[in-house]
Amino acid sequence: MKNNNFKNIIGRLIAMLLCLCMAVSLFALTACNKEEEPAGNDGTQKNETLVEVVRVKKAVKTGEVIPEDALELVTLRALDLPFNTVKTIADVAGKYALVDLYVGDFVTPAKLSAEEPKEEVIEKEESEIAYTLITKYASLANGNDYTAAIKKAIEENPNATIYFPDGTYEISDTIVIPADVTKSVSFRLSNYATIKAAASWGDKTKPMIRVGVYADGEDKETVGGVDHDARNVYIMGGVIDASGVASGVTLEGSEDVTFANFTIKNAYVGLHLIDPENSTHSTAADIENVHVVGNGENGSIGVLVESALNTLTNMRVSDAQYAFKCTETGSNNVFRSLHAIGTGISGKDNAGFWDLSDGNQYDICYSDQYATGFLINERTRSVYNACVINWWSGDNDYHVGFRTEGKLNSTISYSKVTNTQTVATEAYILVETDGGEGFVYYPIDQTISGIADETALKKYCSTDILH
Amino acid sequence: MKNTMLNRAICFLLCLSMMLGTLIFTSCNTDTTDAKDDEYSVDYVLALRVIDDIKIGGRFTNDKVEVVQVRPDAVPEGIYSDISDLKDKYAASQLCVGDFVTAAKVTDTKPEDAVDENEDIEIGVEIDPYELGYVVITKYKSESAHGDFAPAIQKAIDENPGRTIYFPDGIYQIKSPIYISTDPAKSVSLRLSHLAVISAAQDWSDKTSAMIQIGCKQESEHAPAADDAVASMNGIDLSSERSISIIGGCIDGNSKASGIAIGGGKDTYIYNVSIKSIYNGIHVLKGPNELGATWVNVDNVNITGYEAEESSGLLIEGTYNTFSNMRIASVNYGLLCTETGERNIFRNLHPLVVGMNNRYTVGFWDKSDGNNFDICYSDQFSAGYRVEENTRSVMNGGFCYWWTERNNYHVGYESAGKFNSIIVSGYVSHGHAVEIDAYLFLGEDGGQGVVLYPVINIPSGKYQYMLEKHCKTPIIN
Repeated sequence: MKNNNFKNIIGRLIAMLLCLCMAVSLFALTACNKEEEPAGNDGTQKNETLVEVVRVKKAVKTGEVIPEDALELVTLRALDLPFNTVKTIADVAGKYALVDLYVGDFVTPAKLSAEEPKEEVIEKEESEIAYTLITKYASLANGNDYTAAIKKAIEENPNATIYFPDGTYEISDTIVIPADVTKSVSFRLSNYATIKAAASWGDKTKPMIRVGVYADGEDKETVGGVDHDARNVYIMGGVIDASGVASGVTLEGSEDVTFANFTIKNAYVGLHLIDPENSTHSTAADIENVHVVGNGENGSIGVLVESALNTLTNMRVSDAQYAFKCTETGSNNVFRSLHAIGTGISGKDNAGFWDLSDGNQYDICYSDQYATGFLINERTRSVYNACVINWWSGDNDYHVGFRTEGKLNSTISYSKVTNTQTVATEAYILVETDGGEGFVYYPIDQTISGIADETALKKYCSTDILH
Repeated sequence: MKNTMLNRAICFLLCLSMMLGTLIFTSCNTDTTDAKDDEYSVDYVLALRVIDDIKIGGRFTNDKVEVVQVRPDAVPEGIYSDISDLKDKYAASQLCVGDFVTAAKVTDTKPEDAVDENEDIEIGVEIDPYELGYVVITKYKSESAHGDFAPAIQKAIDENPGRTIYFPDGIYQIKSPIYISTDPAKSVSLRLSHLAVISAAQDWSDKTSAMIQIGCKQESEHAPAADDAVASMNGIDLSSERSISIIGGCIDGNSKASGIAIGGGKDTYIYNVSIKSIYNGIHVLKGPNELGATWVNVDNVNITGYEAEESSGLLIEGTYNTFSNMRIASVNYGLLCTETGERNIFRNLHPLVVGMNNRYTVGFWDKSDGNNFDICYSDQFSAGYRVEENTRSVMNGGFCYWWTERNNYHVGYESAGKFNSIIVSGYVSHGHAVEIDAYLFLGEDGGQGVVLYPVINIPSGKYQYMLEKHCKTPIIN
């Protein structure tokens, strides 16, 4: 593929050069011809091309209608005229002048308009920035509680970007960004702007920010997954701190939503992509460079994916029982360079990546310290490429790289399982029920005692096993 | 083969058409001279004509007007013929391409409704740093002295923990490193405007010393600073961690310094920065925890060295970092991972070395236990990728290329000893017969490493047997 592409480019480059050269030759030829005309004559009275053109006889100001009596027809040498000079009075008279016309000026189409030109109004607000600053709404803040201020800012500024300067903005209730394209907004947080859940939050499953929320009875097919009018709603930068008592951010609909460059921390559920229950189950979001720190509780999930067709890139997730979990509807997602870090979690019942869906793409995803790196359902036909599962300590006595619930139907390629201490259970792969169509391709097995018995792995692996 | 023939045919055509072009051009030129001679006998006048639109209040500069010879009946009254007459004057109204410049269109004083030439830049400006709550570095300008901005920057950092410090366009020369603590109570982020340059002074003391040091002070033998040794299990208290970012602008080492060094923290983010004329571009030290983890994300950062011996674009001693979408040029080693620099992700990196003939150069040198490479390109380095015997890296979709005969040594993938890594769909290509040219070249026979679906475009097959031993699939020529 690359080979072809590259040659293609070279080929095109050469073809381009070729065309260029030919064009130069052609140009040279034409230029040459043109010059020959005057040169071929007797020198005093040249056979010059003469044309009849329109010239301004009376000055006309910008915005005025050009009267016929302000124009005259003159016959002049073509060489002396601007390119495009208008040749008939009927093409000029009655039109509006876009610039001041002076006596003796020639008229080109760029100076004319059929419609009355509008005064260009450049509205300069006091602030020249395009953002809506949340600090403008500070008077609505109750102490440090910005709930009312943020809600008002969203309500008053549809399709605006709301900017949060460095600082802490506490909220005591969920902030909602509607899916409705006439009402949606984006959030831009400075690097150290923190939206923080109040200690009195109450329900730890209640999210701090809900994005792409449908109104009651709103059509999810046209507003959601398949609506190409969707605004590019985004949340970028800063910190969403759930204070250990709340959940972080949910995405419930809309399309092409971007979450980038922020951290959700101390959350029960960090980021929750909810099935909008449209025909494709899709939220079609791009999530990049977003990091999640869970609250370390049993049941906490870093990223819970229940919708389809999302792309998640360059994320680190830690301190959650399951760093990434895909439910049955959370399929057809792309996961690249995701990193699950099982700190603050103990026991056997946890995993870096748990996939219950029909299938997703995992490319260079890392799991650290989780009892199971990748937990795979029997129905799952995911591709796990170049993943790494690692344990740096023996705190947990269960070290399994890939584990299935039922048979194995996924593809695992070039993935490495490695630990530094011997524990009770060590395996590259553990398959609950024999069978399935899945296979393992060039595994790197570096489990200390797991390599002694690779029977299970060999059942699914017909290639070399690297150590 | 077919391709070569085709290329030659195209080249031939190319030459032919160029020659044709030159020929016609030359013959044409003589004609023009003749024509000009004739024109002097006719009674033409000189006139200034507009060749690029001039806004109200605009100036008459050489790129806006030209002098032309026209017949007198074509020019209006009050025509200007010499641009020097217009030196201090302004356009009284909007002038269009093709307009003659006449006295009516020219004024001595700037019109009230003049269009500011810079207005385009100011409208819709994304950032008013004060409004956005940034600490603007120019506020600390008085702290700078003798062409050294370092004390001013350091003071801004020390006085504003948890804030973002903004650098407007401009050059900020520093004579000593800037230090950013990874202690959450002290850390800051830097935001540079597109044309803001932090520049090392000519008398910078140590080329290995980085201009910006995050969570480490390199003077103390590259050890993490004492206040970065946070006493949690991993050296990182995740719940209160405050990530540091450097976004935008340029870090210029002036061929005297190194760029950025990172010794700790988590989720440090370097984005959209150009690091140039440095010895080492980004140096990630072993993290201050049992994993050696530094958890850095670098995206869309370009690095240019000055062809210094032993210099590296990326020098990686820490773990769990992610680097994507980078170009790296003019360094001895595009990327160098030491023994402790493992479990990193490298995606879409593109090092190239232009000079440095007669020297052994490497695009990606991995001395660690293993890293992940995905679509990483090496241009002109002696060895594209180099691994050690203990390295178990996965190198997917690589590309190694040479466009000259340089160094007489063109090896795509090289292992110092036996080979234990995985290469998938790697492409190695060059058109020159050199002394050593190989897809895979091993210091010692053996190892478990595999090569899958290699794509080869190499003139000599001298070392093909090394590849064949490790290749488990067809070889694509």
